[in-house]
Amino acid sequence: MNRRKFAYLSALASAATATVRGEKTAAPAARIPEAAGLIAEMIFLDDCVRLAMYDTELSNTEKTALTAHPDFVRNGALSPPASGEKTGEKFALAAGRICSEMLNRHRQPNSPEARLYQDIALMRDVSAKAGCDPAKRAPVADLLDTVHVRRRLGLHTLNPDEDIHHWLEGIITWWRDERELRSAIAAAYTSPDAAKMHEFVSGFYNPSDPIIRVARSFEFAQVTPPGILPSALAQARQGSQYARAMVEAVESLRKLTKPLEK
Amino acid sequence: MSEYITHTAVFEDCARLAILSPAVCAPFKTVFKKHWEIASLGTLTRSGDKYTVQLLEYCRDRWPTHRPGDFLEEKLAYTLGWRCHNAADRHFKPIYRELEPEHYANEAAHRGDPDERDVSDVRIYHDVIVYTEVYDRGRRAGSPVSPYLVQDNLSGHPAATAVAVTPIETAMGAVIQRTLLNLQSFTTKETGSDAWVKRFETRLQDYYVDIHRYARAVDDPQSELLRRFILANNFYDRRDPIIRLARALQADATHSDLDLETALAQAEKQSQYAQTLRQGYFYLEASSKFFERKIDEEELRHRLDLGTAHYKPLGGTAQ
Repeated sequence: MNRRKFAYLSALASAATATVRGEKTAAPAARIPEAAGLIAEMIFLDDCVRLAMYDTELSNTEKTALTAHPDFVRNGALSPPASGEKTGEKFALAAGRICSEMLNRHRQPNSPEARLYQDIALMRDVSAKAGCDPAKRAPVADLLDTVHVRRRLGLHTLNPDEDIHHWLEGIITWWRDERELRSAIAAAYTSPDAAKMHEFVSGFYNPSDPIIRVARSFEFAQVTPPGILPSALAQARQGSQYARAMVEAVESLRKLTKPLEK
Repeated sequence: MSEYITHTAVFEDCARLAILSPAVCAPFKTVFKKHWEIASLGTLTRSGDKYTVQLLEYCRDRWPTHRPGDFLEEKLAYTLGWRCHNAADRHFKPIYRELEPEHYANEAAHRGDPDERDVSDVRIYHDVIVYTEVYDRGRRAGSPVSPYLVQDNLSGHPAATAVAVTPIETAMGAVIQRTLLNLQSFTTKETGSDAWVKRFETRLQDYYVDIHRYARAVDDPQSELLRRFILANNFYDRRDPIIRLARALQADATHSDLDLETALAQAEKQSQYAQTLRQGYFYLEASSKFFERKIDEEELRHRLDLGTAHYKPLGGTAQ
């Protein structure tokens, strides 16, 4: 799904369902927003950067460009192909663009509901790795709402676009989508439907894939012995879609034009 | 944003005062009631002065024929919340500079507001007092902020044993940034990579407030900072009639001993928070009069302080 299609479908879906209901008493989500799947994508991008730290074929300048500019990596998917001077920022943008592309190329199925369950699978795996029990019944919706407020408190004030009517319709849609997505995640997080997990996640993500274990361990400061990356990459070719996307992302990063040394 | 809690509270209190007031038109009350959260989002948005008049005019002219799904009610709600942001900004930005001048020293020599790079302590302390006084630290019914809001890793939250807060917060935060960036038209219109990067660096919504500073201010407030930022300039006085009325409305309690007009008149010389509510309410009332065609654009601009500076940078010229 490209960015124009994302924006269009998102606005269209919300316009079609917009009602005069009270904002404070919204019912649980009946519609899964197009933004479903972005949590998995953000975790994937961070995982690719973690793997890159092990890659002996990338220079320290390239590795530093990735870690110094995480926002560029995470938003590279929106950027146009780079030209001109190859700065660390442009390298990070290009890396993010190509990694997002690899994930979306491999992601199957790719419906909003499938992506929702893929988000949940990633969240559950990360939480389990952190020592949490994702199956424990808990007020997850309230926690996700609180996290959302905390993140918005940490942000600068919202910055309107010059096309004010388009932006206002977008921000109103964004708000509803975010709320409905949190609600949909929370509804399934602790006890996701087994049949849907099988249908949407079993081929997509396998936490046992060695390459995923390398990235996930690194996330929690458990360092894998040097030299393990080549064998993990080789095994990943027969692994889950997420693992295969990681292999292609790593290989693509090696081919990117190197950033200038500073 | 820093002042998130203060701006949200100012909006909520002003909206309840507007709903109570016979001087505010019915469409405003309708959109507040139906689109409270959308209006609340408006109070967290910059550049309100630039768009208020055109949006009020747009909504006013189309109101008689508006229909569900055309975004008109939501746009009006957003615009009204936005005015409350401007009331709070206009009142507090000069005060921040007066109370913590060391943070803003030489700001005229640098481009932009120092708080864009690093938040001043005074902003955080104001938020903490509002968190306590207005929302009882998240325990008050209907509070838009949680009792766990400023805890490290939300460690006390009952779902924190099921969800790993730190990594999920990072991923959700990145999704918020991406989806907000996707609303900026340059992301699709700008095709040159150098120009795109330049726009990206100015339009990306950065994370710049460390929530842990809030935690420290809540758990271990510094007496000197409370004295300087809260007591010395009478930031909040729960005895002020306008604040008592706002709290009664918030709790859906009786308030027969409190008259809105009298409370507004008294607020002019009362606590800073009371003065801000007064300013925010009058912005809404003026907007209402314009919406009902009782005042013209020139008078609206005058009453909304449009075209006047929010603050004077220390050591420089007005912004």
